[in-house]
Amino acid sequence: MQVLLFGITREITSQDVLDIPASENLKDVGQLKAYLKQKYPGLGRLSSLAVAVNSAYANEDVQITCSDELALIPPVSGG
Amino acid sequence: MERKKKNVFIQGAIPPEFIAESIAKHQSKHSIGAHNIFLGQIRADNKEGKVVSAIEYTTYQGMADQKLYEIREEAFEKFDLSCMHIYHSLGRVGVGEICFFVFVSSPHRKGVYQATEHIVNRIKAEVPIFGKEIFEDQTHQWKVNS
Repeated sequence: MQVLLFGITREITSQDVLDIPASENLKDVGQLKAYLKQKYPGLGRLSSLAVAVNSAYANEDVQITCSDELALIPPVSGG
Repeated sequence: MERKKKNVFIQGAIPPEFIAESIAKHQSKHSIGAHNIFLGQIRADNKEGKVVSAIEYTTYQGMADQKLYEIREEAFEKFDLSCMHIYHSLGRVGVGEICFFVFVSSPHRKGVYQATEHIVNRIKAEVPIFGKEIFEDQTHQWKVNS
């Protein structure tokens, strides 16, 4: 399962894309966030951290599979 | 009517001439009676003694285009608009330069004020654009919209 990274999340993880082994068996957005915050504690210290599933903000109960486009969205700051 | 996804992103600062040309292009549209424009400019914020010299913007473009499309469609439904143009910089934009340009046109003035504020607020809150504030000493910090 791949997760695209942007902004400060690239600095926290030192990567542009995270590869998560299928053996982690992550089923929904909530599990993905919990896994990533545990692996990279810096993510948990951000003022917000959203997950996008197929280019839409997703609640914690949204199911995920390896065919979805997943991304971590740190606090936005356009404009 | 389904509108196409428009190209919003411009590399670097938005030149004042580009804004003037955008206005000129609407002079042939004679049903328009009111334009309203919002321009975002890079501010030399002072953060604990360090002064911002530029902001470097990046985006998650696939999602940003989708969000901007939704925001445009919703604004056209909600307000009586003839035209709407949104531009945002990517890459480095120095203090005093323009990074964000929202241009709304309507037959009458009433809707354009509300529409502009609505569109600007939604973009600042929802569109995945990330600004890295570069200080004069070349250190940086990631901006968070309030």
